[in-house]
Amino acid sequence: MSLTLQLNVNGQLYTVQAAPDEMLLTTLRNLGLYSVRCGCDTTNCGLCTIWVDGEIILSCAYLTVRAQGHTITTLEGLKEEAAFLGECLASEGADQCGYCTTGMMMSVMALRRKKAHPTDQEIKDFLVGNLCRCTGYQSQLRGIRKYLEAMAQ
Amino acid sequence: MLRFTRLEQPKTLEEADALAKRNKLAPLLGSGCWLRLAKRKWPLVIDLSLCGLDYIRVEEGQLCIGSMVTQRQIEENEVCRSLADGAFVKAIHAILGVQFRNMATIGGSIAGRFGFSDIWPVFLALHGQVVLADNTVLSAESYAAYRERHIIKEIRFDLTAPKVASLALRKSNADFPYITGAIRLDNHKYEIYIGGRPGIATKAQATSQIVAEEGLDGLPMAMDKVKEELTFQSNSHASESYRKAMAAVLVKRLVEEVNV
Repeated sequence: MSLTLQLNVNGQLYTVQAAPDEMLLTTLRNLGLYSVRCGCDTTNCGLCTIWVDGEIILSCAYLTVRAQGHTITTLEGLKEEAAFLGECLASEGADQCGYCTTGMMMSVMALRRKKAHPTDQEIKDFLVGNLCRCTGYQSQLRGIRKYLEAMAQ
Repeated sequence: MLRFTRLEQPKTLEEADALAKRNKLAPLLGSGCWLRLAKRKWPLVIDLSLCGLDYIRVEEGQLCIGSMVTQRQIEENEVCRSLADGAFVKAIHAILGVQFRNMATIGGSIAGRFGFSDIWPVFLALHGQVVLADNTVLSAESYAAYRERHIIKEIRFDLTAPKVASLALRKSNADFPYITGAIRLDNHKYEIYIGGRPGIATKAQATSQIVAEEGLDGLPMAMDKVKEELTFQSNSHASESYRKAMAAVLVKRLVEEVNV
């Protein structure tokens, strides 16, 4: 039996039909929000990272029914800032296959809102849930540092 | 994945408790972080997310944490951060990533009684308490063996905790630990708890006794004792013999850390 739910996604109100056990990852992709990607599907890799009320969560293990009454943000809702972060990452070679990038960007932009001037260790601690198999993380760290410094000015 | 055709979202703890009693087999949903790893299909699941159990407060010298408080909320709460000089929060901080800790609830971590839990050893060492929906209060040790169907209302800690330290060993950062431990030093009395054997954390009684009586001089003997006193097994994370060797190392490090 599917439920009729009202979701606030990227500032827009959607009415969706979802099964009681449907995960938000599936619902968001059904809405055409393809920045939300499925990786491990078992809460380990961070690819499906989105914001719920400004906090990063894993949409692969978040029931859609629980999202009612909360503010959902995906990368599509942060286009301009995401574009700039993307430039910073690309300029440092922090992007190879690119599959993990969208989830990682959601974490980085959430970190900036919580702490404008994090140390390298704080960046690493905050991003520990975003796995990347290509870059070795050092180039990501340089790109993130570049983005944070520019945004702080 | 755990599948279900109906989800009940009670608005109060009393309503949830009544539902759980009427539907004795229906799973209770805390954070739901492990839904993807389950394989069964249920007609009904009871979701506890709207029961108002997401509070952190201090009452009569005790820190009371509602069972639906997330691990991340605990990490960011000043009172929780100061508990036992940060030992409780340190154990939580090691768990997977921020996204996961924004979802995982303390009630789910305690109720799961997972062997690999970073939280359980320190929960035991802090002499934490579990308060059930009917206000029954259980010590952490009693709760570890409690098998009745129940809902956790909150967990409690005395704010005047003695010195406690916790450590866990893992193959890589943010992986599940293959051995965990915590130590309590209260007026020259040591209590050492070892988890991830891979069973749930439990007290190493004789090992604790040796350290209490012999002090740091008794460490080599305590390191041998822990290997024979507790049961260790092999799984995908570590072999039995490796766990034994590492448990000995953990005892040494715990005693050193709590004496700093």
